[in-house]
Amino acid sequence: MSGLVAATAERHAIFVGGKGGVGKTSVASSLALAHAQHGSRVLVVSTDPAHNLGHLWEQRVGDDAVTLWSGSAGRVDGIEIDPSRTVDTHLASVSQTMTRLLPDHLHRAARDHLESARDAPGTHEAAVLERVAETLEIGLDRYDRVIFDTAPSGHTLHLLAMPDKMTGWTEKLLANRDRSERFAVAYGALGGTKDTSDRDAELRRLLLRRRARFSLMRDSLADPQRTGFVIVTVAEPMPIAESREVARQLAELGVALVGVVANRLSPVDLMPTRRVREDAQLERLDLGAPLTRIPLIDELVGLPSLDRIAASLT
Amino acid sequence: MSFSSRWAAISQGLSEFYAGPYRRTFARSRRDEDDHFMLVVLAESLGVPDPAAYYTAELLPAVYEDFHDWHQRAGLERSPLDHISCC
Amino acid sequence: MDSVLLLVVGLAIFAAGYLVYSRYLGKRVLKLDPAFRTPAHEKNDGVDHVPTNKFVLWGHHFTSVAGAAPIVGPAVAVIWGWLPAFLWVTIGTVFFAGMHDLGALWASERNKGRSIGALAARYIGKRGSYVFLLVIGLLLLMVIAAFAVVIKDLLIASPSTVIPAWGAIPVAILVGIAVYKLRWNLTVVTVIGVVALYALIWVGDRFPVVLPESILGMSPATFWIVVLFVYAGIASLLPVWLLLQPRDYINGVQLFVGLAILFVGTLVAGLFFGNGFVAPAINTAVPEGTPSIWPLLFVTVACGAISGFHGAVASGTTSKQLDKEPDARFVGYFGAVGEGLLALGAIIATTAGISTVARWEEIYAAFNNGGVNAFVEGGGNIIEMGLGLPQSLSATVLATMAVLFAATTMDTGVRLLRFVFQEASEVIGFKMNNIVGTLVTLVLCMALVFSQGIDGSGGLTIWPLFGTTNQLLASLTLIIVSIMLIRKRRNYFVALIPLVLVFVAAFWAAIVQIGTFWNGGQDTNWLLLALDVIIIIATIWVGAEGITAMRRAAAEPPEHDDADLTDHVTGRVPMVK
Repeated sequence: MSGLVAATAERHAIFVGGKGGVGKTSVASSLALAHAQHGSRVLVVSTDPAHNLGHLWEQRVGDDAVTLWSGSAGRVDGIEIDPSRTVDTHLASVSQTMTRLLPDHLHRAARDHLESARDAPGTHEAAVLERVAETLEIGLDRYDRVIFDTAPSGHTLHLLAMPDKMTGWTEKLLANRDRSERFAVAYGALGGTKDTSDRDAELRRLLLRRRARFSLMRDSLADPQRTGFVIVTVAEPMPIAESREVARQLAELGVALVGVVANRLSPVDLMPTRRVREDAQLERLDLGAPLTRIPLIDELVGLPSLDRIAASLT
Repeated sequence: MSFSSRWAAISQGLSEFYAGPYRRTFARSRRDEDDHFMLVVLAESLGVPDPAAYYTAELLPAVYEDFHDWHQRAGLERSPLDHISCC
Repeated sequence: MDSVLLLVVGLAIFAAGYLVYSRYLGKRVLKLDPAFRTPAHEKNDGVDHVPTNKFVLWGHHFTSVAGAAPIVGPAVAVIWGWLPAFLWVTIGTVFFAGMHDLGALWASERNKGRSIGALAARYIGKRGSYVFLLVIGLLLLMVIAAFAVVIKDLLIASPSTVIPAWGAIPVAILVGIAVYKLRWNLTVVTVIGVVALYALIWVGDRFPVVLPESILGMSPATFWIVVLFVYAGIASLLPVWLLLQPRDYINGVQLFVGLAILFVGTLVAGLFFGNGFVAPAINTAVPEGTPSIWPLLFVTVACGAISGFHGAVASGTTSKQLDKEPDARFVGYFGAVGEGLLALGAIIATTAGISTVARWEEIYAAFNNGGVNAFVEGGGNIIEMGLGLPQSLSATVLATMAVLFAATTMDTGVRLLRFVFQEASEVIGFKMNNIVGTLVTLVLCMALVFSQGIDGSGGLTIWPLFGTTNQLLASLTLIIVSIMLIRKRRNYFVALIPLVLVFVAAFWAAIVQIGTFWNGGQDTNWLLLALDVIIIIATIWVGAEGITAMRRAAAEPPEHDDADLTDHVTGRVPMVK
C-alpha cells in the first residue's frame, strides 16, 4: 500500500473537497474502491447537492445505503444524502411532541408554526450536518472507513466550522438556564411555590444532548488520528489559489490535511506545453501533504475508469 | 384561634413580610432570563432570521406553556403569531 | 403642655380618621367590593402580581413610602411652633393623605394595576403621561439631592453613625450572596445580619469617625457627598438581589425597632417624667428670613400630611398585590396614618426632646435649620429619659435609622431616575444604556447639590421645592381620582377639596420661591430657579388639563356600574385623545 491509500489508511473519516468541477466525486469514489480492493468496508457519502455519485457508478443511489462494489473482503456502499428528508423527520418528531402536549384545536397551529423553521436560513446546512454526524456514527459501526464527497469548498468549510460554533451557541443557552435555575432555587428558598422543575429538566436535557453531539463532532473532526481532508485540484492558477486558502482554513479549524490530488493532468504526448505549465504550477504548490497526480481520463464513467484512477492512488 | 396557631400565623406573616419583596426580586430576575430564552427560541417565527432555527425548533414544545404569559408581558395584547391563537 | 398629651390627642385623631372617615370613603365613595377580582388574582404570575395578606402588604407599602421625609419635613417645620405642624400633620393625614393614598391605590387596582403615569394617559391624555414623567423625574432628582445633604449632615453631626451606616453595605452584600450563592437557611442569615447591624451600631458609638479638615483636597462635607454619589451609582447598577434587596430586607427590622424605641421612650418619658415642650406652640418670634406659614408649611411637610410619592408607590407595586378590594382601606389609608405617626414622632422629638429653650432657639436660628440632626438629638434625649439607654447610643440608633432610610431612598431613587431618563430618551428617539443613564443621573443630582455651595452648605434650600413638586404629583393623582369619581357619579368632593387646597398651596409656594432663589441677580441660584420655573409651567399645565378633563368627564354620560369589570374582560382601555 502506498500513495494516497496509504496516507489515508489510518483515518476513519475522510473528507474529499475542492473547487467545483475538479473531480471530487471521481477521486472520492476511486479512493473508496482502492481501499475496498485492499479489503476494507467503505461507505461513500455525497453531501454535494449536485449529486454525481449515482451517475459515476452508473447506479441509482439515494438516501439509504446502496452497494456499489463488492469484492472478496471489501466493499463500497454509497449514499446521496437528502437533507430535506432529514428536515422532515426532525420537524415531524418535534411536531409529535407538541401535539402530545397541546389541546386539539391548536394542533394545526403548532404544525404551521414549525413550518417557519423549514425555510429558515441555516436549516439546510443544519440538516446536512445532522446527516454527516449520523452517517459517521453508522459508518464507524458497520464500515471501516467513511469517505465524504463534499460540496464545493466554501460550503464544506462552513460545515466543518459548524460543530464548534454550535457548541458555543448551546453553551450560551445553557448558561442562561443555569442562571434561571439558580434564581429559581433562591426563590424557592425564600418561600416561593411555583415549581417548573420538570420543564427546566426537559430543556436542560435537550440542550445537553445537543451540546454532546456538537462537541463530539467537533472533537472527532479535529482529531488527526480519526479525520483527514483531501484537497482535489486541477493544475490551473485559480483552483490552486483556492486550494491554498482551503488548506489555511483547515489548519485554523484543526482538521488534518492528509493529501492533495492534482487531477485531470494533460497527457504529455498530446499537449506537452500545457503539461509543462501544469508541472510548473504544481512545483510551487506545497501544502504540507503528499501530492498525487492523476491524468486526464476520457469519458470518466463506470467501474473501469474508477479502477484506473484507483491504481494511481495506490 | 388557639395560641399556637395564632403564633404560627404571625410567624408566617413576619417571614412573608421580610421574604416577600426579596423573593419577588428573584422571581423577576428569573423571568427575565426565561423571557430572553423564549425570544431566542421564537426568533424565526417572529420574523427574525435565525440560522439555528433547526435546533431551536426542538426546544419549542418545552417552552410552549409560557408563551401566552410571555407575549402579554411583551406588550402584545394578542398572540403575535397568526397561527397560534392562545387567546 | 405635656408631650404625651399631644401624642394621645394625635393618636385619637388618627384613630377617628381611620375608623370613621376611611369607612365612609370605602363604603360610600369608592364602594370597595370584596367580590371584585383584583389584578393580583387576574394575573397572579408569582412575580409582581401576587395576592398578599393585608398586614404583610401594609408592611411592604409602609416601608416603601416611609423615608426620611416624614422626619425631615416636620423637623424643619416646627420653627413655626409645634401646633401648626401638629394640626397640618393630623388633619392632613385624615382628610388629605389618607384619601390620597387610598384613592391612588383604588384607582390603580381598578385599572389592572396600572401606574399613575398610565392612568394620566388614560384619563387626561397622552401628554398627561409625559407630564407625569417630568414631575416624577424632578421629584426624584430633588429627593436624591436633598437626601444626600441630609445624610452628609448626619454623618458629620453624629460621627458615631459612620461605621454602622457604611458597614450596612457589606452586611447586605454578604446576605445577598448567602441567599443566592451559598443557599444558607434564611432565618439564620436574617438573625446574623440583624445582629451584625446592631453590633456595628454599638461599635460606631464607641469609635466615632471624624474626618480631617481636608481629605483628598475636599472638605469633609464635599467628600461625603462625592462618596455617597459614587456609592449610589454603583449600587444602582448592581443586580437588585445582590445589594438593594438584601439591604431593604435587613433595614426593615431596624426600622421597626427604632420606631418602637422612640414611641415607647416618648410614652414612658412623658408619663413618668413629665416631658414638656421647650418649643412654643406657635412661634411668634420666628427668626428673620423665615417665610410665612402660608403657603410654606404645606410644602415643607409633605410626607406625613400628603405626598404624591405615596401614590406612585401605591400604583407601582402595592396595587398589584392587593388581595381583596376592602383591604385597600387598611393598606392605603392606614399606611398614610403610619407616616403621620412617624411625623408626629418627629414633631415631639424636635420640640419636647430638646433639653432647653435656649438650645432650641440655637438650633432653630434660621429657616431650614434643625432638620434631622434636631430629631436625632431630641429623640436621643427622650429615649434616654424614657428607657434609660445612654443618649449617645440612642442617638446613634436613631441617626443610623435615618441614614439608612435616606440611603435606601437615594440608591433606589438613582435607579428609578435612570429608568425615567431612559424612558424619556426613548420618547425622543434614542437609546440610553445603563452606564450613560447612571452618569447623567449622578451628574445632574450632584450639580443640584453643589449649586448650593461646594460642600452642600446651602443645605436644604431645596426642601420646599421638593415638597412643592411632591404636592404637584399629589394633585395629579387627585385629579385622576376625581375624574374617576365624576365618571361614576360619586361624591367627588372628598378628592376635589384636598386637590384644590394642595394645588393652590403648591402653586403659591412655587411662585414665592422664585423670590427666594432670585436674590437680586448676584446670589441667584440659577439651577433651582430654572427648576422652579419648570415646575410652575408644569403646574399651570396640570391645572388647565385637569380642569378640562374633569369638565369633560362631567359632561360625558356616566360610566356603567360594571365598567371596570368589562374592561377587564375585553381588555379594551378607552384612551382619551
